[in-house]
Amino acid sequence: MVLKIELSLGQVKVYLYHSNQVRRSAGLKDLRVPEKVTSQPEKQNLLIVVVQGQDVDLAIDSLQQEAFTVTRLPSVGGFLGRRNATLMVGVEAGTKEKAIEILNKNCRQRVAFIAVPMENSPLPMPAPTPVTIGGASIFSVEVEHYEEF
Amino acid sequence: MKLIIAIIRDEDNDAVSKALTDKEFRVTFIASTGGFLRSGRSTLLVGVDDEQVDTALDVIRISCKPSQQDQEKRATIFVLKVDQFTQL
Repeated sequence: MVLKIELSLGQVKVYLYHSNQVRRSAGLKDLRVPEKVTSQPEKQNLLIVVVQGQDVDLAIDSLQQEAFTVTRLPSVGGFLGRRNATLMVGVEAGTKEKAIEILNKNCRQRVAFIAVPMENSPLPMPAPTPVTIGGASIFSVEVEHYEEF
Repeated sequence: MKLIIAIIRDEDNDAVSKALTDKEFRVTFIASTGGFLRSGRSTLLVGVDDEQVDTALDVIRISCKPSQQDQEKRATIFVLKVDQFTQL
């Protein structure tokens, strides 16, 4: 029996070539097998990605170019109260690393300055304090069941 | 306990949310965008008990209206396992 697996975009095709000659020589009856078995790939992970506002558009575009499906939710960060976006990306088994790599390329870490009141000062004086923001926070969650219709 | 994340079209949101709440599921709705043309999508978060997952999925499947254009996705559904659930 020869198994041929063909990978195409969004679909895995499995062809079964059965060699009945081998079976006949072994004194077995010919087997009838379906010639083509088509199966829909399972999405096995859900990435929940928090991305800075400046990086979102680029990140979404480059993910979509690689045929990932992206849903965008507007959100706000807790510490600085800045707008950012939460992306939900469904990834198939094995393509997770690719998605993370794309995000890695497009989401940069930046340094922002926030005003913190100086200590030991008679007047409330704001001191610019550098904080690192951004990059991307990625949560990967296992999906128990996936469907789209 | 399971968490259902259902990404549906905006126009189905009312029907789906209503159908789910009628069946006493709790629904949280988040406005979102996605898809090919950044079209309007609604994300629903539904927390359900293990044995009620299929009921909830059926409710969503039934209340999403058939799409006008071919090829348009009506819903994308993820079911995730919930490690801990607390309601205060």
